[in-house]
Amino acid sequence: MKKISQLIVLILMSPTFVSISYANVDLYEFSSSEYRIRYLSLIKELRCPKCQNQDIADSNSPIASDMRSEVHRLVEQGSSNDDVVNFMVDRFGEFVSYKPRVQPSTYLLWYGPWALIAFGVIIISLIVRRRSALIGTQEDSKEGTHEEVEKLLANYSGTRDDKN
Amino acid sequence: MTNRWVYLSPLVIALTLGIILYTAIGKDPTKLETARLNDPIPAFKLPKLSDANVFLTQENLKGELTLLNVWATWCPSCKAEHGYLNELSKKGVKIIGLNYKDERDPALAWLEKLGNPYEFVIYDKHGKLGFDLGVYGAPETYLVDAKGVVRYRHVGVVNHQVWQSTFMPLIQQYNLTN
Repeated sequence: MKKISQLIVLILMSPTFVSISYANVDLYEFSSSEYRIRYLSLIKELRCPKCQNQDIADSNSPIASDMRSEVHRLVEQGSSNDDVVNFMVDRFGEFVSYKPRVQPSTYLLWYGPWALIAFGVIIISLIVRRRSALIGTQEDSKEGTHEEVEKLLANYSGTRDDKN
Repeated sequence: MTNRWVYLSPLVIALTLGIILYTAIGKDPTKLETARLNDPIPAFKLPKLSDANVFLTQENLKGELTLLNVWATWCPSCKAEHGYLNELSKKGVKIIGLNYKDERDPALAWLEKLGNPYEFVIYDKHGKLGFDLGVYGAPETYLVDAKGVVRYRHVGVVNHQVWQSTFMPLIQQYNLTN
């Protein structure tokens, strides 16, 4: 067991693994650091159409590299983040954005979870209210039983005293 | 009555969600929507594969219903579908090639060797038109109507089955409307 874990650590430390994680460092130059920051955040927000479930920052497929170069070009041109995302969505569809636009086809995605939560809260509060109402009536009846029990107890102790 | 509704509604919602999600099972997630559907072919100016001095534009795609086939010599599936494209072209289907991110000489050699089903081939060395079209993997085949509007995109190999089941009905539909 120990040997296996040592082996795994060795494999993870080997140059092939380390180099994979640095495979996609493009050497783009930026005229301002604001552009660089925006570029870096945009390539994390855009999804690779070929290697799905990877952002274009993380993928070394040719299409992802083309997309990075277009993002760089657009950012340097002074396009806003929305412009860049729209540019990509126009070509590759809503799929490429990890942050889909709010529009009728994505309402379910954006508002669905909130609607479900709201619905759950309503249901729970209805149930809780009903329960507490029930418990309330039970407590009223308890008052009655309490008196009865006292009476019975009093009678009982009375009979017991007699015996003594 | 309201009591029953309150207790049943989570079940109803779970069922509705279940049905919605169930319909998505079995869908191929690698097939993306065609963002350019019903949009005109994006403007371009690119050389002809066979002649670097002749430039082609989106105007060259207008006139009649056309197939625009995206291919490259580095793409194995393109080789697989090439024979069927030759067949289609013999049947009189108008096919225009888009040579995507490729080199001119090997591409010309490929056509020499495997036959040329294309009326002409657009040479898109840097994938500019491909990018504007939203090409994410060759081969892709677009159905372009007489006005130069994208009516359908097929990602992957075009074979007899795909042709019969998807392209034929569309071609009939657009030939009638034109």
